[in-house]
Amino acid sequence: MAESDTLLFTDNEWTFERIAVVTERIAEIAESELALDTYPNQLEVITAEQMLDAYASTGLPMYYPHWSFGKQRAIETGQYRRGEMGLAYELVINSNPCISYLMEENTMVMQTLVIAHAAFGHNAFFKNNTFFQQWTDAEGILDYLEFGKSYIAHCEEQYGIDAVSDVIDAAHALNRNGIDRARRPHKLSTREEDRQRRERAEFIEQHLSEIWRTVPGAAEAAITAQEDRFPGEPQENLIYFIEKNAPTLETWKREILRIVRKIAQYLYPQGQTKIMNEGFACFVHYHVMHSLHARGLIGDGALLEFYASHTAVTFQPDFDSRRYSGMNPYALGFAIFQDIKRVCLNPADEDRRWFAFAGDPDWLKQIHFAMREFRDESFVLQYLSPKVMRDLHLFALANDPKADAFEVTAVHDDQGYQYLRSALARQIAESARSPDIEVVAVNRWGDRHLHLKKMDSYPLDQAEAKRTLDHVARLWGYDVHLDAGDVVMIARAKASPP
Amino acid sequence: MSVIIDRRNLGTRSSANQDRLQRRVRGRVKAAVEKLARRRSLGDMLDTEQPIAIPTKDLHEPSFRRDMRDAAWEQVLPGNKEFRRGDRISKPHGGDTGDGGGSDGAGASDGLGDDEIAIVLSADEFLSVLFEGLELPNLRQTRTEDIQLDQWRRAGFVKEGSPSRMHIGRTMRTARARRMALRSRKKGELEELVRQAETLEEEIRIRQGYGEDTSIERFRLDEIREEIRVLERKIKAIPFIDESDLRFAHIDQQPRPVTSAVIFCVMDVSGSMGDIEKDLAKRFFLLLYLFIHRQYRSVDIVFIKHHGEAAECTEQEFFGAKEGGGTLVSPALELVEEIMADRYPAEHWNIYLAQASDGDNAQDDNRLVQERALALLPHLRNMFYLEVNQDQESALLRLYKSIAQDFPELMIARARRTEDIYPLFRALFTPRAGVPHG
Repeated sequence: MAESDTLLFTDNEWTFERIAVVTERIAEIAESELALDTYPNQLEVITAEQMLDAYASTGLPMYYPHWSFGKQRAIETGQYRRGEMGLAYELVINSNPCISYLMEENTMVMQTLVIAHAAFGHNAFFKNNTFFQQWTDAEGILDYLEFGKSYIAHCEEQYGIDAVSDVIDAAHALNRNGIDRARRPHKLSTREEDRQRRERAEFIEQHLSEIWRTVPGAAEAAITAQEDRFPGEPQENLIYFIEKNAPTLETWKREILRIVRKIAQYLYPQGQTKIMNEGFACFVHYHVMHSLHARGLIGDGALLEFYASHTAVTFQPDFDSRRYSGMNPYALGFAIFQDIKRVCLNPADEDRRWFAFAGDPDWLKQIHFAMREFRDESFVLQYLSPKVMRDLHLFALANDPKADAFEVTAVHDDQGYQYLRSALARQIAESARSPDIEVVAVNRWGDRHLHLKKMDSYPLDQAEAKRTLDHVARLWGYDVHLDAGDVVMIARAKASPP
Repeated sequence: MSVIIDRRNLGTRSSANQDRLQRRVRGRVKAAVEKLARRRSLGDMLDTEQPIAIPTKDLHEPSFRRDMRDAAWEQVLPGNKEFRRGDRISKPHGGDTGDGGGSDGAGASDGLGDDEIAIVLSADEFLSVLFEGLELPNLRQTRTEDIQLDQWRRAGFVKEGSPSRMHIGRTMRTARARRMALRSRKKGELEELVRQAETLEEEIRIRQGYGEDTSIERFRLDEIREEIRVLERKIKAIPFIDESDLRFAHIDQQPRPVTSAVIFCVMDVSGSMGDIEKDLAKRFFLLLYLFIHRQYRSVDIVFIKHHGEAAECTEQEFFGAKEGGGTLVSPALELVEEIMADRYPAEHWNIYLAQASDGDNAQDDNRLVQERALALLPHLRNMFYLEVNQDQESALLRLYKSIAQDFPELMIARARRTEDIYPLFRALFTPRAGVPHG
C-alpha cells in the first residue's frame, strides 16, 4: 500500500472515469509491451438482462427477431436464475469499431479484466487473424445486420409473422450447411446490398426460367437429363443452392435465406478459432493484469481478485468429474499460448526437439505469428507440446461399436504425444463441422426433386435428418431425396406451391 | 481511441423474441394457463409472474447431425490418472455409451440437460390468455344509449339564468371590474378638484394675511366645492352590483359512458354449503370479477350472504362464515334491490349479479324469488346463477331456467368440482357457442 498514490482505484466500484483511465493505461501496455494492433474500441455498459439478450442472439448487437432467440434466452435465464450458469463477464463483437460489453454488476477489477481480455485480446485477434481477415467483414457487419433486421421486419409486415418465421426456421435448420468453406465471401455493405437485391430479383427470374425451361417430350427428357446434369458438380452450400435454384420460391424468401446465410458465414470463423481466440484473449489479460500490478496501478487485492476469476475461467475439469463438459477452450488455448512463450524463453531439451522456434528470444513475434496464421485445428497440431499434454493429463479413448470395452489408445508419454496431438486436432476439426451433405442432382425434367447425398462416413442422426429434410422440401417446393449411405430418405413437399 | 457508452437505459430487446416465442407455443401456453386456472387459486396467480413450462421438444430446431452412438470414434480427454496405453475400460451397460459421441460438438451444446424451458407471463399476459376469445354477453349493450349516461356538465357562464344557478364569484368579479372602470375617471377628476380647492384655500389664507380682497377666490372655491360634492355623489351612485354584472353557471347535457361496474355476489351460507361449495363459488366469483374488470375502469363488489335472512358482509365473512338454518333466497334479492336503489342506481352503473347456491330454497319462497328476479333483471347487465354440488337440478334452477327464456341475460351453470369452474366459465362467455340456457 506504500504506492497507493499510483493506484488507479482502491475501492472496487467502477465509474466511467475509472474505466476511461484504465482503458488508456491498458492501451498503452497493449501497444508497448504486446505490440497489439486493434480496431478502435467501443465499450458499452449494459445490465445483466441485456447481457442475457446478447447471449440469446449470438452476441450480435441486433438480430432479426425469431422465437428461437426467445427460447435460447428462456433457457439461459433459467440457468442463470438457478445459479447453474454465471454470465460470462465479457462479450465482444467482431466489428469496427470493436464493441465490448461491460456488465454493470462487475466490480472495477472485473471491468479491468474484461477490457484487457475483450477490448484488446479479442479485438486484436479479430483484426489480425488471417481467417477472420479473409472470412469476415468487420467494417460492414453492423450495417448488414441493420439491413437484415429491417428487411425481415418489412417481410413480417407484408407477409405475416408466421410466414416469415417458417422461412427462418428452415434456414436455421440448414445454417451449418450454408457456409462456403472454400470461397471467400464478398464484402458486406448495406447500400450495395440494397442495390443488388433488386438486380438479383430480376436475375433470378431469368436464370430460373433457364433451368426450368418448359418440359420437352418425355422420351427426350430422359436423354436430356443424362446429358445435361445439373448441378455440374456437387454443391456443399445447401442454402445458397436453394436460394438460387428453388423453382418456385418467392423472392422475399430467397432474400431471407440470403440474410441468414450471410450472418452464418460471418459467424463461421468464430467456431473455427474458439480455442485460439479465447486462449489469446486470456494470454493478453494475464499479461496486462500483471503489468498493471507491476507498475503499481492496481493493488494486491485487485490482483488476488483477478486470480480468482482467471483460475475459474481457465480451469479444466477432469473427464471423470461432474463438472466435465468437454475440453475447455479457455484452458487449452491459454495453456498453449503461455507455453509458446515458455518455449521461447525457457526451453527444455524436449522442447528443442519439438519446436524449431524454441529459445527464440523474440517470444512476442512467435505469439503474434501463432495468433495470426492458424485456426484451432492447425494451431493444436502445430503448438500442443508434451508439457501441456502432461499438465492436462491427456489421453485418447477409442470406441469400437462391436467391442464390449473402450480402449485407451494413447496417454501422455513419449509414445503417445504425437498420437494425442493429431487425435485432438482431428477431433477439433470434426466437432466444428456439420455432416457433409451436398446437392448432387436436380431432376429437371421430371418431378423436379432435389437429390442430396451425404459425402462423409459418419452416421447421420436420422430423426434429425428427417425433420431437417422436411424444411428443405418446404423451401424447394418439391420432393427431396437424401442418400445417407445406408438409407435413402425422402421428404415430400407437402403443399404444392402456387 | 476508446469510446465508452452507457447502454443500460436502453432496456432489453428481448420482447420481440419473447412475443414470437409465445406465439409459437400459444397452444401450450393456453393449455397451461387453463390448467393453472382450474387448479390453483387465482389470487395467488395474479400476485406473481407465472412461469409456464414448455417442453423444449416443442421448440426443437432440427439440423443435420451425426449420430455417434453406434459409431466408431476416438476422443482425447483430460485428467488421466491411472490409464496406460492399451487399457480396456468396460462400457457402461444399457447399450448407451453416454456422452461418448462427444466428438460431435453439436450434441453437447444442445444437450443442456433440461427438457423444459419456462415462459414467464406477467399477470396481464396471463389474464389475456385466460380470457382470450371470451366476450361479455352484454346483451343490452347493443343499445348504445344504455352504456351512455346523459349527464349535466358545466359549460361556461351565461348572463341569464335562474337565480339558483347564479354564480356569486363570477358575478362579484364582473361587478368589481365595472365599478373600477366607471370610478377611475371620476376619481381622477375628484382628486384634481380637491387639489385645486386646497390651492385656493392656501391662496385665500395668504391674501387674508396681506389683507387683500379674496371674494373672487372664495367664489371660485364654492364652485369647486360644489363640483366635488356632485362628483362624490356620482361616485357613490355607482351601484355595487348592477344587473349587467349577474353571471349564471351554464350547464349542458352531455353524454358520458358509464365506466364503472358493480358485482353483487350473493351466496347461500346455510348449513348445506360446505367448504367445497364455497370454494367453487369463490373461484367463479373471482374469475367473474377479473373478467369484468377488464371491461370497466373500476369495479365494486358487494358481498351478500344469506340463509333465512340476508346481510351485506365483508369478503372474509362471506367466504369464512358458516351459518345454519333454512334457506330463503328472496331476502337476498330484496337486499340487492335496496342497495342498488341506495348506492348503485342502474342508470349510473353497470350492474352484475352473481349468485351461488346449492339451490335448496324453501318451496314457497320460489314464487317470491321469481317476482324479485323479474323486477331486478331489467336493471342488470347480466345475472349469473351457479348451482353447486347437486345431483339433480333444484327447483330454484328450474325456475331460473324458465325466467331465462325471456331474459337471456340470466345465465345458469352447474359445477361439482373445482376443475369444472373454468370450463363452464369459458362456455358461458364464448360468443354464440354453448351458452347453457336450457
